[in-house]
Amino acid sequence: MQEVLWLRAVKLALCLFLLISAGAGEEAGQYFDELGSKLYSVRNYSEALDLFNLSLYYDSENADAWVHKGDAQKALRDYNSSLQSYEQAISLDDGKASAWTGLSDAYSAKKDYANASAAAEELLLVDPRNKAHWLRAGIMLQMEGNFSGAEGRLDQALALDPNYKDAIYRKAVSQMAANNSDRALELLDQVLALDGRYKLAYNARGQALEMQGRYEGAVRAYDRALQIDPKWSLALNNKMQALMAAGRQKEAVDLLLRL
Amino acid sequence: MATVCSAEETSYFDWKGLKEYAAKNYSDSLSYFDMAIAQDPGYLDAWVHKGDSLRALKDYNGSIENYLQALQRKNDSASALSGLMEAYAAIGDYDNAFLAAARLTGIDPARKDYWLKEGNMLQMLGRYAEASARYDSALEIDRKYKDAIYRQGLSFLALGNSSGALSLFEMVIALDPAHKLAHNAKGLALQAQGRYEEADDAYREAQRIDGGWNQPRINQMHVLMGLGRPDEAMKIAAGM
Repeated sequence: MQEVLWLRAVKLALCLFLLISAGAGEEAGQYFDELGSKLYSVRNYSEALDLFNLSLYYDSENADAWVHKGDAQKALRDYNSSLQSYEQAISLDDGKASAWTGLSDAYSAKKDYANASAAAEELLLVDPRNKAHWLRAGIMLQMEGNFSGAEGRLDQALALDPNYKDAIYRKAVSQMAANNSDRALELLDQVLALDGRYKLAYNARGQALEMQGRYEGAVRAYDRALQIDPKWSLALNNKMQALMAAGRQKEAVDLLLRL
Repeated sequence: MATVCSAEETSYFDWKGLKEYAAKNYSDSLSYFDMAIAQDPGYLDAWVHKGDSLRALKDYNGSIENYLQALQRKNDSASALSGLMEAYAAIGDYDNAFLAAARLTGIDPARKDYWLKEGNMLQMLGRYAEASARYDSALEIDRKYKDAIYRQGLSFLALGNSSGALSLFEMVIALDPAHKLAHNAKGLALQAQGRYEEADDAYREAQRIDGGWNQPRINQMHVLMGLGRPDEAMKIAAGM
């Protein structure tokens, strides 16, 4: 406890010194923003937030500092405040991709997928050459339940990079939603050919096989996912379901007791 | 006089340790229990309490050693056996956990929770029929013992008796409508009978009780696939 107090006192003294010596507000703002980013990178979000606030005190026109403040608030699960910070950043610079990304993530964390999707669509206008933006837009549409709309965005991501495994995986999810498990399996095999340790693809393979009533195959697929991540509760739960469907009740309950 | 004072000191150290334990200062509590044991190695409670602190600190092997020390001094110490069972279970040694639980029921067969524990350890060993008999014993003592009814339901489910399981899960829910585990297990029993719409309702109820619990959400995803509603199923999957 005493150590923490000492550390805080030293930090405060340093801040006061800098406050006096830095002079120009913009430079001071920049300095505190950088210092805050360092603390953020070591997951010290509360103190990082203090420094971003200090940065904005000196220079409230620094869009980056607003984004960083939003990121720290988001990390602290204060989603409403983070939304306000990102909006501030956007009001200063509506071409700032990091602000739209943060906005989309914060809405998504609040399960407000309509607004998360709208923010993701804005990203496409800011930088349409970025495959990750198309993927994000696709995922947000999937979260809204708009799987066919998501396909278009994912195709755009794949036009930029045909081996973009995350986009191929998400396309497989859309295909499953459209009840096309054969096509989903083809896509998932494609993902696994690119990355044999893509656990989500094995898990989704299990789901696609279950849709076809191939329960033993599904169990094997979930086992492959669990070889990669033995404690993955989603795959464990899915395996329990597949065992139950396969009539292997005892093994299913064995697993249920360990979930 | 000196002996009386020494005994007082021993129980004082143990009491101090328990206060630290209650405040979740497990490491600090250990030093008090050690002092009590150093003063009087025959002081059974200090060995048990030290075992409990080590277990809280996830030093399961250390805790087992201390419970065994307590049992050397009193081989029918229920608190030592109970701790021993929990420690063995925590390291996945269900054979020894079961043996400890069986000794507990031997010591005090009137305790319904001991029968429940023994049954639970048998379930972890996959011995569902034997577990079922233990739950029967617990229910003979208290026929409204919902934990035993729930676990009995799981045994029935594992043994392929989904209708028997379903009746038991419904009984638990009648006793405690907020029993989320029973709603989830009811969904599984209904699913096993192909009654997907009703299973969907059961999983929704479990989620209503605990919105942060993923298990019924995942189960619901499977039931929606079974109902031929893959778009709704994948909406759940997309958010996982």
